[in-house]
Amino acid sequence: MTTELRAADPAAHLDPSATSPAAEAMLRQVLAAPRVERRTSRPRRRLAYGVVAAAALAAGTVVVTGLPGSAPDARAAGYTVARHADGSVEVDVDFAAFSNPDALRASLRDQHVRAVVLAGPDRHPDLSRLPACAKYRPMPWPDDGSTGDDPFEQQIKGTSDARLLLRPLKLPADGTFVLEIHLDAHGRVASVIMDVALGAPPTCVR
Amino acid sequence: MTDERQRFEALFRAHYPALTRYAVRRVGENAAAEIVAEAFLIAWRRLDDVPDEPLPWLYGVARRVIANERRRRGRADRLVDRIGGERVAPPGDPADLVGDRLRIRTALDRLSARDREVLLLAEWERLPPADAAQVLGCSTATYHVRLHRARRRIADLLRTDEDPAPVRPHLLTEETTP
Repeated sequence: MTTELRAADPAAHLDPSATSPAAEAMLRQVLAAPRVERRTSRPRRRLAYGVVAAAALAAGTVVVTGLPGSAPDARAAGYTVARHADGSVEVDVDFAAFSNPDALRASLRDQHVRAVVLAGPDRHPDLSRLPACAKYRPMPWPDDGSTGDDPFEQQIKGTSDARLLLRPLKLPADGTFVLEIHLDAHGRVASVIMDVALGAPPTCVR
Repeated sequence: MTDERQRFEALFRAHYPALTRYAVRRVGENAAAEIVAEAFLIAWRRLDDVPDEPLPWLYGVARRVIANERRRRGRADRLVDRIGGERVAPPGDPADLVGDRLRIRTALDRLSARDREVLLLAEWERLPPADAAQVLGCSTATYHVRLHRARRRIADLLRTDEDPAPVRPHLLTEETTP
């Protein structure tokens, strides 16, 4: 079996060179990007959330964020929420600084966006793991990028940043945006995944 | 050159070949460079987090990048339609896809994503169990169990699949959970 499997390796014939022109160009491009420096101190909210994240990691469960009231300073919490003239709402998440999913949820609520924000461990990076209780029916995805009529667009910019463009006016009447914030073993954001749930959000994610 | 840049360049030079092969095995040669570049960009941005033995960590990052990309673009079949004609293992010669290789490729594609990744890490990346477990985010013991089951399942598929369907151009598909 091992012999057969290895014989079927599609990359067995490849010998990529780290000094090839393509590799050198890739290296230059990467080194030109700004680095995210490790923060030596964290705000209190981050520490408090770290405790929650650690508990979630230990339990292997998804944390459902609560409603803390008015949103605090979003930029300090590692995200920005901005409404555009066309009614869309842009959410930018700084993975290195993001600390407070509750605040993000409150900010979206302040913008009259129906959304739930989930945060939990990133144990299974193959995604598609919305809470089983939710029985989501994700919206169809466009074959080739957004058409402008989709309820949202998501752009992954490495694991350091994510840009989400929400279009509440395109959201079905019974739809709710769902943001999954996946945390690594250190409680930091590993990825942000977006979906739309149809029907009333189940109690486990309200 | 700063220490960080020197460290990253050494990381890049040491692991570019392996990471490229990893990506080629999962998304094909045409799309691999994009995945590798993104994974190294993440490594650069999070250089403080890169462990002393970086390859399993890099594989894990690349795995997540691929999953994110698939998610962003839609399900795997849509991605296949969009990029057209892509396959995990574009053979140089169609004769490469006959006999045992065809049977293996077909069987791999019929496995669950989890079983397939376990097998690929073991047999194509040839990672030691502890490193493969790190990529998958599980314990070494769990990895051994998964690998055992994956081997049993592909063996079952190969035994029962006397007349495999022709392999159409496609990516190895991710499982989807609506």
